[in-house]
Amino acid sequence: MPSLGATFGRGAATTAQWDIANADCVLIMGSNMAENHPVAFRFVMQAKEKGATIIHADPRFTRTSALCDIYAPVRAGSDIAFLGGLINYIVNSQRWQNDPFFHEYAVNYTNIATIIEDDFKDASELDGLFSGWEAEKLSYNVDSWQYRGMDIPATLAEAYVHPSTDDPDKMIEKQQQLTRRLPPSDPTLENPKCVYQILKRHYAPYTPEMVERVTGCPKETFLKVAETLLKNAGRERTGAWCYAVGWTHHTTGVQMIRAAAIVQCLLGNIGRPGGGILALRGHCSIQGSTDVPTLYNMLPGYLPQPSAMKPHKSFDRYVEVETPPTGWWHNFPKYIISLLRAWYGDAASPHNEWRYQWIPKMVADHSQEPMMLAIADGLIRGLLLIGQNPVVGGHNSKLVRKGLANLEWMVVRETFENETASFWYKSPEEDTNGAGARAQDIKTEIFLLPAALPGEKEGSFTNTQRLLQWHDKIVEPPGDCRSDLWFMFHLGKRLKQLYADSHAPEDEPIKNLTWDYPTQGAQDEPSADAVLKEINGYTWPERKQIEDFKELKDDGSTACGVWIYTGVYPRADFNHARSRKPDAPDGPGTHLDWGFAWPSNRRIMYNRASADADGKPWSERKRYMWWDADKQQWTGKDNPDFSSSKAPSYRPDFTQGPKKGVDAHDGKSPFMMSADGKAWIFVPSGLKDAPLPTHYEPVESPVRNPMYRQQDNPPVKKWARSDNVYHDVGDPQYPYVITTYRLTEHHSGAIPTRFVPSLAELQPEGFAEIPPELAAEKNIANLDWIVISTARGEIESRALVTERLRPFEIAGRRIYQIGMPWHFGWQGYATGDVVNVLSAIVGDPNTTIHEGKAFTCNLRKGRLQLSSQGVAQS
Amino acid sequence: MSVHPKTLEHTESGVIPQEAELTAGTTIEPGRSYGFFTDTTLCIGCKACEVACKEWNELPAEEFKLTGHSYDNTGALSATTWRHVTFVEKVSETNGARATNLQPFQSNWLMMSDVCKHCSPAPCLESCPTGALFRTEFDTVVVQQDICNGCGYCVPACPFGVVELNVPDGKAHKCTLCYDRLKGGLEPACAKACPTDSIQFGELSALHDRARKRVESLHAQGRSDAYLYGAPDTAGATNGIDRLNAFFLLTDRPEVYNLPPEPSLPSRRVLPSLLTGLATMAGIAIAAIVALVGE
Amino acid sequence: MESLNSERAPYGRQPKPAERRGVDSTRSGYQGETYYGQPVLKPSHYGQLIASYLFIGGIAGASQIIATIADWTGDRRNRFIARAGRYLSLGGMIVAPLFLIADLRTPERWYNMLRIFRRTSPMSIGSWTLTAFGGLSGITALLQFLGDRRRRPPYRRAARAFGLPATGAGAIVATYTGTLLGSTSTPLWARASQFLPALFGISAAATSTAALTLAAHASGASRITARRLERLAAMIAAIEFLASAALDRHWERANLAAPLKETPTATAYRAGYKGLGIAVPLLIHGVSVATGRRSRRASMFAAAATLIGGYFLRSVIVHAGRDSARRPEDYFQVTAAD
Repeated sequence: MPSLGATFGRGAATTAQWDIANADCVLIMGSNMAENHPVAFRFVMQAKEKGATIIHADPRFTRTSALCDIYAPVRAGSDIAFLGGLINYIVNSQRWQNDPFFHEYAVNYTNIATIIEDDFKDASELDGLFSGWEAEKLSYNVDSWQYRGMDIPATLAEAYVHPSTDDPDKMIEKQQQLTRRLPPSDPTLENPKCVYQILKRHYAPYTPEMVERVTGCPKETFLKVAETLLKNAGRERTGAWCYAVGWTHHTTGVQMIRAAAIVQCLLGNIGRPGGGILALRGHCSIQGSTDVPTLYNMLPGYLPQPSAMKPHKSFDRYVEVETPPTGWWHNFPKYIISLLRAWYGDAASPHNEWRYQWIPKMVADHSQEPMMLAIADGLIRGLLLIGQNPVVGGHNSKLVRKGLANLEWMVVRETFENETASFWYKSPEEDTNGAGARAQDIKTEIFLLPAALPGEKEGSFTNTQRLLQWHDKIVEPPGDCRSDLWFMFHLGKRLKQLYADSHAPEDEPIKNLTWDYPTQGAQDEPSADAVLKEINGYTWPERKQIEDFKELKDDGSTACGVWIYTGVYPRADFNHARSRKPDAPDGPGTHLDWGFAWPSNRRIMYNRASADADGKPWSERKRYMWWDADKQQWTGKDNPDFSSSKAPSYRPDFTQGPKKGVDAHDGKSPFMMSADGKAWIFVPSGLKDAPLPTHYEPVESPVRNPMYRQQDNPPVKKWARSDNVYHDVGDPQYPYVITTYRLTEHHSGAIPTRFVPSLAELQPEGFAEIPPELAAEKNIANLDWIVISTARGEIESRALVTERLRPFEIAGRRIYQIGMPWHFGWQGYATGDVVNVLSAIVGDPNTTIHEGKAFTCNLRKGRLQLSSQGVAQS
Repeated sequence: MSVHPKTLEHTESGVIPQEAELTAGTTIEPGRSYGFFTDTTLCIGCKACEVACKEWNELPAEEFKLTGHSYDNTGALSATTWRHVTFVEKVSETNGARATNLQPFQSNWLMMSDVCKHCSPAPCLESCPTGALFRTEFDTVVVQQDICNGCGYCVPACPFGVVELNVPDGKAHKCTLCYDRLKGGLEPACAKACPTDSIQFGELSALHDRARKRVESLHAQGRSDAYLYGAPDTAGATNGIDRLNAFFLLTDRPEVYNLPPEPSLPSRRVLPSLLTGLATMAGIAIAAIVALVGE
Repeated sequence: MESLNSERAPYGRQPKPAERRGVDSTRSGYQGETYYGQPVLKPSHYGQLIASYLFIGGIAGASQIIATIADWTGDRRNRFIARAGRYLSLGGMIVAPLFLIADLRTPERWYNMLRIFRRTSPMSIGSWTLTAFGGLSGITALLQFLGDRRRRPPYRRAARAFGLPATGAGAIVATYTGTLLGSTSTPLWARASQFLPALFGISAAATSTAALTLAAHASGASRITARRLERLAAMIAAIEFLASAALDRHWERANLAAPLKETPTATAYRAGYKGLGIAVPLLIHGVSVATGRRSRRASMFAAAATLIGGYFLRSVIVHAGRDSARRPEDYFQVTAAD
């Protein structure tokens, strides 16, 4: 998600599922789309019916692969080598060099021509590192990554990196250059420090032979994929890419997605029908959970979270440092002030920094993995888990359980008693680190509160295509079950009552939160409708709904919960998320009256790029948005993701003074959120690990990096400790690669699916998929019990011997890969050992997302034995 | 903005009288023949059909046991499983190498949603002595639960192993082609749930047309292995079974999917068999006459 | 349909060898792929209740035929046979339906068997015939009883007249069950759809004769009566030997005999039916004919063996049929494309 944000400006799928049907070619990688997004896959099949070529690149042959035209086997964790190979192939190909379309698209719409600082060095020159690496800090100084003579602010709040933040004034001054001139560029693409030349140099080692050596994908298959992608790009043809957690769950996950974004930029597929990148999120409303975030490092609408580690001491400084001078984010003050007005109402005013000091500042990485470590170390006393099952879904499950046993109290809100709520009396003996922690030794006070399911509560989903759809309550939740909204609202109410007579300064924020949502019914259910109205935003204090985020102000006269959602409830009587009016079969196919997509109901983002520099569609076949010269308006099948009245011929006239916001962007800058209006093939700031994706091995790998001396992602987040031991590279004790994944029949931690009989019987038990060659070596027959082990723990499972997993030849060695679905636990009808007993706590440097897709293990035939003392011996 | 013409009529009113027209492209009228065309080349093995069927018909789960048969843990159709997805992995090519260049649409991992074939004529119906099994006004075959006395004769009669007696309940059960939904203008639950429209519900003549065109289109794309099973004059509809109202497009031999290539209509054997029996008893009678006359 | 005949299209691929399936197909004519060795068909649930019905029904049906023939010969020494036969028939027809009703999984709805008549269903044909035969058995038995009691010719004449339709119905009752089994998809039965009614009818006659023989010896009927029954038993034993051998050979050549070769069915078939039911009576009768000596005990022993063997035959056919339905390779054989 930050990858898409860093490249294009917004961290979200650029298109909608139904638009995939317009693609001439679909590449599914880092995703098992047919299994985990079966309804979205229907549109891939529609594309196929119209003649598209479908490609699946994956470590396993899955139900998705069976429906594709080309299956490319790719070793888990080596995706960047494959994608880098595509980049190398494309930029050096005849087609790309000679067809003027590619040059026109890239030079006008991306930063491919932009010139980078002279002292920048790429990974091909530094054996896997980039210039600016500071080994003691385990981080990059990104000064050398900037555009020559300018500092570029990052596009996205999450995990951003700014240059020179230790001298904010200097940084601000260098950023101001963007208001005075366009970034330095060479449209002929010959300058040795322009992005194009850097790209060519950096990806030169990613030859088809190297791709085969690193990924195990046969060269012919790789070339077939590359040729197919190239053939289906241009004025007349577009290709779409679909990815999911098969990419994000890596320590190089962000860079994998970046590589895909670069290819799509080179092929000219962004912002066009049948093109784009469809990020398939792992859950039907996870998009909503990042928009209105349950993440520690963002405020709603992707606003930066105040941080003690950044120059955020005062509100003014915070705004100064975080407001880019150019690009749409220049409007940032309006959004943060409207947010504070929404939260604190009249208590916020310009004289008290809009109560900015009431928002807690980050002091570290507070994401799930380090939080679990902090709990295990006794730093955190209490935990609320809402619809989460970390004993099954969290990495290093034993450490998680150790942590939970350390808490003073824990609240689990769930629809069934999951493993997390029952670990204290049902955890298998062998999972207690041999210490034999038994129920009587665990002092945690655990509350299991019953939750309501969809259908039993009203609200909205925000699906991966940024679409908000309202759902009604159709039945009362049974017994004591309550919705999460009810819980949060009444918890807040009780805290307010508790602090009502307090004068302590730390109680002021809660006391002053606006919390006046109306309630209804016998349970006093708060109105989700009222919450959505606040999310949309209204004038203050009249509370008249606002129609567009362009109306938000920085003077406190507007309140808005999530600025990107403005427009979902534009009038008091119209909830756009309720709308269910599809287009007719001969209609535009954008279905603008079905739900509401952010921003401003635009379905394909960056759709300015569906027209050429002059505003004409690239072709009749791929007509989408165009400039209507008579009306001086952008028009077409969708809402324009662009200033609707900015002509293609607009050029900012810097001689008239500094240009701010989107005034600094010319009429061919489809990427409004970024400071220069272009898609970033090269990312100067915003990401911690690289400006260009580079092949690093997963933290646990059976081979040394065949491409560079640098083994794994330099700033990767590791926590090597006695209860979280990593395997050495190539450790012969753990020779096999293991990848973990989901099945269609269950959902994530599998609450409630393991409890639903008609689902549980479809996949009733955990299993490990192993290739027949490995099974033969170890004398394992189908359905035999095997024990899988890592330095974190051991589990037993049935083996499913299948040809869908194949051995890989990597750098001259035969490497076996096995796979396990991670849904299972001891509760419910469908059970199995918890697979995350095997995984380690490790994180992508930008997102701190774990590496469940690629680590190492050992396996043997047999079962776990329990000793007479109840401790595992094997 | 042009919206779908049907939308405006139904947005707020609630019940749609002929929802199948929107979701399956056909109205449902008594007196016409309906069935399923299951195009396995579109099947992604998601088992939404199995779940939708169980949920709509309130059928219990059966057994929670890993079979090891690829992703098929259901096993077979039964009294309480009316949709069953089969899985057959064929990832190796003839030389042992694993496939990378695949044929268009489903290949190398066969997945097929099996169901009651609603044969015409139907062996189960022809064998039923109580008339519990009858042919509905939609040309489908249904077991009337208030008439069946559990004689169990339909069970071995079925050439596809579909209908089964449920022991606790004491009656025979099988797919009803969602008879209750059809009466309400709704297409069957499985067809509605299928995300890729592998299961297509409709009027039989339209389905046959569509299916034939689909086979031609697949052949043109190089898939010479595609054929129909259960359409008139194809495999599965043989030896007295004229057609299967639920017919399939397959890409491998029927046996691979656990289907008989050329099943037969058992009732064709009734008359010759009875006559043989009577003839035998006539012979016995002669023997008796010989034995009982004279000393 | 020529495409069905070609090996490649429309099926496309060649059948894979049997080793993939983990099934012992050494006795099967089908060497291709199955679906993990899973059955294609569902077996009937029929067990001992139905086997018992087949046995009793057969006796009832055949007894009526023998009784009628005995009656129509007019020979005084056949009167015992006519009487015993009719009573045996009625007795069988009182007991047999109880087994059928007990086998129904919803027995309280037994009367739905007479809700309709369906000529394609041997079970429907059988239900109606059974009802008619039950009535006719009752009438002939009643008329026999009244005739014996009151010694009036009209009763005897009426009994003789009713004997004719009763015989017709009895012939059906004794054999329709073979049709019933043969009109299913179970390979073993379906491929023997003409043999089974024949064999069942012959066995019905054999067991019925055996029952009458035991009754004759037990009630001290005349020697001539006994000898006539013995003659009948010997002839039927010979016929049954030939018929059973023919069926065995038929199944063997059709490669469907495997269920009959697996224990415990194989033991029941060979020892119980072929041994006790056929070999023993045949031997005893054979010796009797050859030496001209007739032993009462031997005759009763042969009758008992025949009865036991007849019961084994029904049980074996029922159980072997269930096994046959569970063998995919057998069913794929009988449904193969020609």
